[in-house]
Amino acid sequence: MFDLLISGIIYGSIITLGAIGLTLMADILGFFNFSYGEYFSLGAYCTLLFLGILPQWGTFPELSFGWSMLLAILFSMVLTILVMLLADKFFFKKLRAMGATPLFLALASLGLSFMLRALIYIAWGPEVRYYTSTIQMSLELPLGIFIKADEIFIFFSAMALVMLVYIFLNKTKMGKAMRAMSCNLTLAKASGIQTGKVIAWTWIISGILVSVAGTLYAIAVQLRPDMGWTFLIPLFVAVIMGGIGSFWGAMVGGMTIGITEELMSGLLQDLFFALDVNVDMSIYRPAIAFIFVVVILLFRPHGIFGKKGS
Amino acid sequence: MPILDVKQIDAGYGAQQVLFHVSLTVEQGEIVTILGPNGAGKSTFLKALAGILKPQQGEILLNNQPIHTLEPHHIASMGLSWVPQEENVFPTMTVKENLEMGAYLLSGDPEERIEEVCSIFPQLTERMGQIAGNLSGGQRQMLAIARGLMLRPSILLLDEPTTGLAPNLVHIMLEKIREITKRLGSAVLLVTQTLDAVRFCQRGYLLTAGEILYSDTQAGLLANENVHDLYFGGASKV
Repeated sequence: MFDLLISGIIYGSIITLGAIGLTLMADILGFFNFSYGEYFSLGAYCTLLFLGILPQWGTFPELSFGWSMLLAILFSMVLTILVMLLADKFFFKKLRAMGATPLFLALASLGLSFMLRALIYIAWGPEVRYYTSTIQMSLELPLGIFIKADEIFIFFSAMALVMLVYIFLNKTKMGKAMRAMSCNLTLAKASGIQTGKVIAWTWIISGILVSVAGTLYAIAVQLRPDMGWTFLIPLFVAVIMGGIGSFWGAMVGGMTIGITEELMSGLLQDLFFALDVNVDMSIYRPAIAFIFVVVILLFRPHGIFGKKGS
Repeated sequence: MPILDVKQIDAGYGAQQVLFHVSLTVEQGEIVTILGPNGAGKSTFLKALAGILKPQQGEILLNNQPIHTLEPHHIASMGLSWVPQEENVFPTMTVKENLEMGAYLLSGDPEERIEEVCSIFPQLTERMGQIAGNLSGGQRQMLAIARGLMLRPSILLLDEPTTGLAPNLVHIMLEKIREITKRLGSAVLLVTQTLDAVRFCQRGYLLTAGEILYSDTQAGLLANENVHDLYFGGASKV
């Protein structure tokens, strides 16, 4: 039970990271970006690319990676952001200028998503990949909890990044401008805020979050070309459940989905095993997330922290 | 030379034209009102001046520089500030953050400007950490005007700043607007539906169905039969 809770918290921290980026985009750019999942995959695969290019400097104690991984994450972040900014410049910016509706933009992002995923398949192939072939031993903690050092790294680095984004949004001029633009676009323009700059910063912040989230997920699980597409489901559920545009909503939503999926699939798996029924519960995890969000939205139609009209 | 010189502008939403050949001038430090019934195009006119809506025809000069083709942030940087009638604050941000957003184009610390606008609206000083969406109607209006003053604009466009306020607050708000022109030297272009506001202006324009029908000094406006007949149906003679 505690093991499931811990892995739920770790999985939830990755969802939170991605959900904050997605909710910022949905709120400021005004549409649900379906290609966001592919940037998740791209971030993970770019890290793999740079790990292959950079020299290997050994690993940190207990962890499965070292300095080369941290540098690879940094380079991957830059490359993912670059791809996102190019997608905006040559695709979404033109659609915005044409007065495209949020639904049209979302459908266009779905098309872009298929294109990006195809490119990932072409570049890296369909097979499952890993950053390392080393088998990592779990550490034993009190209460009989077993956890890998990589998982501790994933949780703390995800939370550190979440805190940095929170500080950026609340303490910096650009962060406040992003919040202002999400609040009232017309007034933001009239106050002298350059909306083009704010949009670019939204892509940059989301790019940092999604590329790191992708890499952390790949450290914990594996790399697959469709990993981002599959991960989009818990991300959307977390954002909708927390309330579109809400930082804290994305955090609570992400953690709730992560913990619920792990607990429910784990406990149900044990139950079916006890009943001698052969069912693989892992394939039903997205369904658990959806059932959860439907129940929440029945009582809170705007999400837990959502504003009316969102 | 006028601070604001509007020459024969046409504006509207898509195919629907709202303003027809509107011309108007505002001198430095002057309070000018635009009177007109609902649907006359007053708010559309201010949106066109602020760059939110691009005029289809005509010319707008601010300090003798054309602004009708510029983006709103450029226009704000040139000294024109617009306070809309509704949704005029950032509701989920604090009072202080709202004022900081008003000073977005300033490169330095906005603290001095915040103190300056709070000397005009001292009620805001004790509410700096309060969320703007939780303020009362009057406080919210004060914050909206204070936000508009953060860049020390040469002209402030106010869209019905007294709508929805209690009668005692209307007078206070109009006094504040007068104080702004005296202390900061900003001109004010005030859109209103009430004759009370006319008493605080130097000149005014009567806008009906998207056209300037009449313009005169304060005394001329108050005495004019056309204003009473056309705008107030002759019932509210002052």
